[in-house]
Amino acid sequence: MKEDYVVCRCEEITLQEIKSAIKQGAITLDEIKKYTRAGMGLCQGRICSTIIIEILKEHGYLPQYSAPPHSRIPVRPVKIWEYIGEDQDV
Amino acid sequence: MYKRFADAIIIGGGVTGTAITYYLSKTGIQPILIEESNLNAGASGACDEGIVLQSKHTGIMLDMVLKSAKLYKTLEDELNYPIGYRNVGGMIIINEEKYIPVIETFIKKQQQQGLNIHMLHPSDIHKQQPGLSKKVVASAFSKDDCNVYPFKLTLGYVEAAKRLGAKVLLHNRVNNITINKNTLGDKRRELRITTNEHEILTPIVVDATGCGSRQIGKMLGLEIPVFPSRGQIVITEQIPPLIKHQIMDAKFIVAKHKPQLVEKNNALSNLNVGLTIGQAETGNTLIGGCREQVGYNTSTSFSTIREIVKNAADFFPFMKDVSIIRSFAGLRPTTPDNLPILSQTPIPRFYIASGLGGDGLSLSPIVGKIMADLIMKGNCNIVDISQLSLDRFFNIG
Repeated sequence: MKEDYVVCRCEEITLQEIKSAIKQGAITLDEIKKYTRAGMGLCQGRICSTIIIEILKEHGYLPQYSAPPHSRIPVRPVKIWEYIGEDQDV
Repeated sequence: MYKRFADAIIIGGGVTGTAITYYLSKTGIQPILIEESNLNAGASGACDEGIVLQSKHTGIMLDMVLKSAKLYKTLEDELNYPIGYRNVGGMIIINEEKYIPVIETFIKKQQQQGLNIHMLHPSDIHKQQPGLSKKVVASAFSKDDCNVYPFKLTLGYVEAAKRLGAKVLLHNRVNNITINKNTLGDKRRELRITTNEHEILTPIVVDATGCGSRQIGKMLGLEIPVFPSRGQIVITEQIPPLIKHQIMDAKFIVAKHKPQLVEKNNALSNLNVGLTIGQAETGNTLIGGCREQVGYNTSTSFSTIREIVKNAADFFPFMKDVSIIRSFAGLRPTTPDNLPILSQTPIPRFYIASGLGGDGLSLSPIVGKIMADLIMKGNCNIVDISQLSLDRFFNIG
């Protein structure tokens, strides 16, 4: 993979940025997220987390360190009017 | 086990611990920051971006935040790091006529203490912040409120401290702190910290672990009254820049001063939900907030999130069509009198900087400076910290 490969498409975070976070001491998915914003976007890491886990493995950080970050509400993006159960004014 | 020495040890890699590490490094010593997992693992990584001056009580809290805001103005240049500082200004919005006199009295006292704040003319409110519901009948405005990105702030402090000779040990859990009896007459060996990787001898230890403070204190037989208070926050998708200011619902302030005015029998008040909303540079909006006494539980709940977003849609009707993408919760380290502990302790050269509640980010640089003064000079001329001492909780009669 080239250094400018976009690992997290939502936040446009490149491989180089992931590697530099690892260098600074981030060794889990959650830590990579806090250092780089990878996984903070619309898809919440659904696409990039598998790639980041592979990059972490390459650097010697095994998947057991990379237990997924907390699962939290919402499961996928949801409009506020849907969430509060209100009919939308049209 | 690696054995080493340090000029000072700071425990806790949040916005408080990293600030102390930086300001201590600036005095010429070379401290070590120890963090159990990684930077921003606790409350500093589960907060919004607001540095809100106008929510602070007059007295020491407003005094500290005014001085903190002044430091923030030049911090980005000083650290030579992009910490996402933006002077966005802030509003305290009022949707009930009966709250107006309470807020007016509150801000009059703040003005006397030097805060740049005024009530907006009713016809200006919706120009100042388009999109606000017509239910908002009055609003205070302070141009001094600002935003900073906490994840970059801690990195900025850490990188600057490292350039001055500080060291950072991530993924080091403090297992034990003891008073070393065998110092060979050398003060630099007085305290011993054992982590899963290191044994470090040092003359100075600072506990900046937020909700971890009680546990750290116990290692030295100290009772540190800091308890978790959960705040849940919702993040929305990125939208165009529509929320111009850091915004807070007046109910938060009224509830403190005239609790009898705030309805107590609805779901909102039971959860202490009052709107806080701000928009990050990325376009995401961060919506809070609440305070819940649920121990060390950091999960989020469907019902509280529902009240939070309902409140947001109430004040900003256009928000109904915005998607939420994530929720999270942080434990605000809270003391019995809601004031921080910035203090010496009965153990010589063991210090505490904790109990900052929801104000850790707002006060970060000033807390760093205060602690560096207290540690290096033995006292602090910046503010009168005697009211923030640990022994205030144990002076009976």
